[in-house]
Amino acid sequence: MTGAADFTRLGQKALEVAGRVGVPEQGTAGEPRAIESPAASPASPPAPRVPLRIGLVLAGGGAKGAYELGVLDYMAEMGAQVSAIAGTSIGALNGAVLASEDSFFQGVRRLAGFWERFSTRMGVAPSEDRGLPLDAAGVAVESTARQLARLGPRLLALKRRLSLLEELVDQAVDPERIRTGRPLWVAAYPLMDREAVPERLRYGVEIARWLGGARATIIRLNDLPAPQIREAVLASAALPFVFPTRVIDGCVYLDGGLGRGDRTPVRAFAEEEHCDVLVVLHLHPDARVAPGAATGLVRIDIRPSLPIIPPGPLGPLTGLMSFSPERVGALRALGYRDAAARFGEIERVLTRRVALTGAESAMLSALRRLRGDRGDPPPR
Amino acid sequence: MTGPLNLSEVARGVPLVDDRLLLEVLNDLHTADDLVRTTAREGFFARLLAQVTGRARRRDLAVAGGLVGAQRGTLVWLTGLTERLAVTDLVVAEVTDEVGRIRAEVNRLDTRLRSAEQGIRDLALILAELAEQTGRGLAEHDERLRKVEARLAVDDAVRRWRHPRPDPGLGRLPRAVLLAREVAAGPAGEFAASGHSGYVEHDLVERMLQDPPAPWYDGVRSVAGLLADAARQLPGDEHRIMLAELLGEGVHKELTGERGPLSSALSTVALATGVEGVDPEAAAKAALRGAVGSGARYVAASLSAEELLRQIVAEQFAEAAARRARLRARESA
Repeated sequence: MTGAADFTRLGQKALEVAGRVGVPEQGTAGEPRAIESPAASPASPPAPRVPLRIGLVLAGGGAKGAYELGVLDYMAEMGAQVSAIAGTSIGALNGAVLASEDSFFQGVRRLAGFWERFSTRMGVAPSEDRGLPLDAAGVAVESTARQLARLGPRLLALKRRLSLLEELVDQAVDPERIRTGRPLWVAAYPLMDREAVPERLRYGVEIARWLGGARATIIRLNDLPAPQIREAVLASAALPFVFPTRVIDGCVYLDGGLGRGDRTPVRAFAEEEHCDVLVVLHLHPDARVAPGAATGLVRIDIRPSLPIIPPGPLGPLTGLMSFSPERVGALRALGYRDAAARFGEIERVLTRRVALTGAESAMLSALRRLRGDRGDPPPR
Repeated sequence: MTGPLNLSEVARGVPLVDDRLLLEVLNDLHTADDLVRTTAREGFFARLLAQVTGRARRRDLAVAGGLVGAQRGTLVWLTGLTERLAVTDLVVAEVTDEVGRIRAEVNRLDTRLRSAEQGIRDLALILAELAEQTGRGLAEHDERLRKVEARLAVDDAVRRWRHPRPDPGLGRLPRAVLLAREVAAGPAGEFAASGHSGYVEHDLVERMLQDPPAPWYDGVRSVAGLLADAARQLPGDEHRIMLAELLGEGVHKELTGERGPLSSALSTVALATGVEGVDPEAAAKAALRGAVGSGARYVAASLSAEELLRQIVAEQFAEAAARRARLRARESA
């Protein structure tokens, strides 16, 4: 039976309740809810990313083409996938070797092997540049006198190693893969029809044509028969007075770099391949795409950050013909560094833009949830 | 003047500047930078040649074009950013409004909560008072009930002593002591120990005086003589030993506690006359001498019947209370 003591205890409990009412409990009300970071609460599923069509344009420049190999090394490491390739002169050769593999990564490895073989078998002594000062790019600096002394031997070396070049091209370029693979365009300079011009006037006419601004022709190799693909590649790299002309489909061609105007065959991509982004590898610090050639295309122009032509009046010729392994290695390393800087900057900028988009999506989603909680009609 | 920006429409209709514009701005900047850097590196003859061939002019145009393109792209980007900032501002405004509404709601609920708390507090106070008054009432009720139980216990004990009467050979003095001892050990003794000893002892003495109707003795008598008579009147030595044992003789003092002078003397006399064959008169005098002391142990040499009964009842109730206290102490330990 409930006794007086029990009622006393009940009374004390009731007094405790009266004294406790109004005292908030610890750790409940008053604590702010942690604000969710945008990353913690994804607002909506990200839009599916449509793969970009990336076009690669490789400029011409003889031995300076080793710079392009360095840039391609970095792109292959990044996992880039190239949809179409265009090149002039050494760029056409680089492009043809790239296009001879199904994957871009394997193509760059193939191209690296080609350059190693070509530079080591050009007859340049390994110690040729020993003792010479190095420029900022790590390339041995030759004086004008040395360049003049080496000009003749270099010309002869190129002329004598035509068969080596053809042999290496046969090893490195796979015409069948090119026919069935990604689009490959090369620029070659067409000479006039021999039948139309008398023999003794031919050189003068050609010089007049060249001075008049004759342009190179852009040839799509995928449409050519296999033997013609080889010829077209060699035609684009046929330095005048060094290598012989090449005949493609009845027309005689020389090095595509002879053409005036746009020496990088950007027009092909602008009109034919519908690429989203063009990566244009130039071989001169002030090289540029001709105005209007790339209208409507997004370009990433990569130029050497340092001069890669030796100083002096013979610098351009030396830069064209000097295939020493040390020079090739230095240019390749410079190309890699420049590509890392350029693409790294692009990645940082685009990453920040994506972060901004994500933050804005989170903000709008939170607003929609807030309106939904309040019972407001959803925004139309 | 255009109307205010609508958050939903702006958020839906304005796409953020895409990667394309940023790539174009970057490329234009790099083109201008590369061309300017190349121009800075040129030597005298190279500059002269560039001027003569027109390359310098084309390069300058390309630099200007790159810078103009970069600035145009930046302007487009900034315009888009401004529109996005407007969206953000609208969102902030809407969130601020919502915070304001929530704050007002919280204030309103806070007021109601305080009112509810006050109500609960008042209710708790009322409940406390109710519990106190109910407890007090129950305590009084409980007391009255215990008083009734004590009365009934006395009635029961006296009735049992009366019907049937115990062996008349026991004598009046032993019977009185045993009756008082039984009542003190029961519910009446417990009730008396809670502060009502005066009432219960008085009631028992009155009932003992009423039964039998004839007074025990008139006037006063010597206590020693009464003890001697009590021992002498016992039927046999077994009765004397029984009486002594009933009064706690032979039990360890830790169990019996301090016995009153009269019960102690009576048990001593009974044992002496029963076991040792001592003369009852001498045994009574000796026992009384040994048991009587000062204070609570004082017993007058002669007492009236009523005084004797009161002393006997008081002793037994005191012994019972002491036993209860010892037992409670032992249980709580």
